[in-house]
Amino acid sequence: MHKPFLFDFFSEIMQDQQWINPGMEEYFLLDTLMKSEHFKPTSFKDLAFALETMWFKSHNSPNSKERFRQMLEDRRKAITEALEEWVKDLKRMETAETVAATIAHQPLEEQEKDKDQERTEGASPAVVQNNKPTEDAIKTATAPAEEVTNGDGALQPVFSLTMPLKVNKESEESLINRPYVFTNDYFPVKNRHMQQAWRTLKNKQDAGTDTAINFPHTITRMARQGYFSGFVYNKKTVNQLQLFVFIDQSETMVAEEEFGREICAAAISSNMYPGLEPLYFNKVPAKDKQRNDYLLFNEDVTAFKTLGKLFAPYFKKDIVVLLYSDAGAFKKETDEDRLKDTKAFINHLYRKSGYLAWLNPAPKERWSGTNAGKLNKEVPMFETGNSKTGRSEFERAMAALKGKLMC
Amino acid sequence: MPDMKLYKGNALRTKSDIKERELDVETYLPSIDLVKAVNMAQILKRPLLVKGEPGCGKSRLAEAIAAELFGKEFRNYYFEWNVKSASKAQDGLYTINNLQRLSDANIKYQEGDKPDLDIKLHIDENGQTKGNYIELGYLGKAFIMSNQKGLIAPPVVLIDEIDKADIDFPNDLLLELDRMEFQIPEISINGKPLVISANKDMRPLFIITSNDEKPLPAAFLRRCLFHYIDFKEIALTDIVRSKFPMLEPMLVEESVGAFKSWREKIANKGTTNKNISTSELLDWIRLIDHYVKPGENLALDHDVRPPYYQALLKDVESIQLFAKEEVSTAV
Repeated sequence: MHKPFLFDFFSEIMQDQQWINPGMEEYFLLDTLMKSEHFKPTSFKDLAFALETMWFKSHNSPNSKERFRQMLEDRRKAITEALEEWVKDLKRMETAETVAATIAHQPLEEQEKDKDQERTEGASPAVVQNNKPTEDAIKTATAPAEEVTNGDGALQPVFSLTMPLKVNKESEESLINRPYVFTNDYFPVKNRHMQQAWRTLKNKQDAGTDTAINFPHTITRMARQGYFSGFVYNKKTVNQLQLFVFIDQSETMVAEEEFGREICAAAISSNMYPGLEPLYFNKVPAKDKQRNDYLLFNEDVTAFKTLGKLFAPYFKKDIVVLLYSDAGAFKKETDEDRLKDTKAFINHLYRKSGYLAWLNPAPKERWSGTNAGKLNKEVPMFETGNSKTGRSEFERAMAALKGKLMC
Repeated sequence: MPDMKLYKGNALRTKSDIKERELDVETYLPSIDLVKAVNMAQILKRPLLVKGEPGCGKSRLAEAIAAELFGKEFRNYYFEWNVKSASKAQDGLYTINNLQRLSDANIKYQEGDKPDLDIKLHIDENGQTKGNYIELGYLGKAFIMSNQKGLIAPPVVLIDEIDKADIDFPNDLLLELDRMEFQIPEISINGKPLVISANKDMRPLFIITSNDEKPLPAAFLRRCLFHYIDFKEIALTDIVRSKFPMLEPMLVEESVGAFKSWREKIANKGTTNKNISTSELLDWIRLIDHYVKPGENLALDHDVRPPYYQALLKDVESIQLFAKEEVSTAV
């Protein structure tokens, strides 16, 4: 099977040339461009210019453009070879398409006759079959130059698979046209889905002085009175809920921590919790036994805040807490001490806050027999590592934080 | 994809070209690379982000494309959105005049009329829109226009100096630029909000310019193609000749040569961040065209302050760099 055009080169710059930082979407732009009838690159220069326009998006440093060009120049040989190969393939496909078009216009009777002839002659299935593509072949075939063995076991190129390629072309194009398919956002739950979910977690109440104009009421009053006597003002509605997110920074969470930050970023972007600052702990929040309180740290573990001080300005019912940790599920941990300490922390939270929810990035099947499985009975826990169910689990976590879902 | 007319960049090269086509625009001479970048944006149906030094012709590109693609009717297919610091993405989609609506409700009730306070949008077959308390923004108008029958080229939208707006502005446009559609929830048709969408085969061509005042978000950049108008790719002599065909060729050569040398000197000295640009060169040439009589020698010295330097040197550092007085001129 042929590799996608210049994909190795693209992968290389994704890994090694991060200052360019192209995404998959940009790769598919190249694919679309190469398939366009308006764009026929014939030289390295043409292709290099197209790559520069599509993949190079910054001009912050004066020599960055030169750097990009030099990088292409260093790979001139590989790019030129790929281009030559592409031009050859294009010619081959054009020829095959012409053959396919001729066959398509052939009367059915003749096609049947040809088939009978093939059967009697016992011709090689590869070449003959592929010169007359059936509907099944169109649906199942996937590549333009797949190789199959003929009756003698020799490899034969399957040229007429250009017909099936059309099917693939369409599906690829439809993928490209779909927004938000290829982004840097490879988290199990997309940022905008999380934002939508965060927007549902609110308890809006009137607050402050009457400063917001209420247009419907102003118009209604004006219609009733028959003249405009002034605006009707309302109090601004403010979300009363106070969200706290506590993220586990233990070694098993290293790969998952970024998603924790993304959860908080989504909450901030949703405008529901603009001042949210995630706080961190390692396995279990450290306990201040003297004050019967818990310490939570900033990301760099250079400063801490006590739970008591964090919660002090708010009513208990307005405080919601989201915990993000694997609860030892990744390591199949069964450490009794950790379990005991965590349970004590959860009980403390229940006394001081409204509702709790726990997001666990570890797969659910790993929970049983570990601390995660046991803690699941204490606090509503949701699996967010699965990209298929992550969104619905995240929404369920929001329901739990609203007090609509208990464990 | 239906046949689409691609930009060639050759329709506005001389004043006679423009006169022949009955256009009311200035000459515009894009580089080959710039034309290629515009073609790629047309083929891929992606916005083209254009950066470059101030005065290098970024903002004029979109108008030039529209003029070439649509001829003398191009104003119908060209939408220019000059972004301000207070601009919001919503302004490009539609705006609703709630205060006017409120005021009308008040006045007409007093007169005993039955007020038509409904928000309505009428779109005629030529793509012209008329709204009751609602007005479409530039994006909305371009989307509507792209649906016109028999269109052979995409309507052109200029979003000029996008970096002037708030940092969220580009991100707020992502969805609309991706899907080329938006909803107007205030207008409901059969219980569903009115959707304004562009013709998928003839998506408007977006030319977005930036002066790099603020960084643009990665998600936005990802959706754009990018071209930097390098000073080296600008054919200065040709541009000056196209705009001032009556100037003597020698004078043009000399002026452009001197301009390049001054520019280099300013860049090498590094005393100021601002170098002299193409648009300033054109202003300066306009002064020369006005004051210098045919046959008169300007005698430009590359080391002294140029005549009519007020059009070129805009800061004290640059003026001090050419401290010697300019040669006597015919002012």
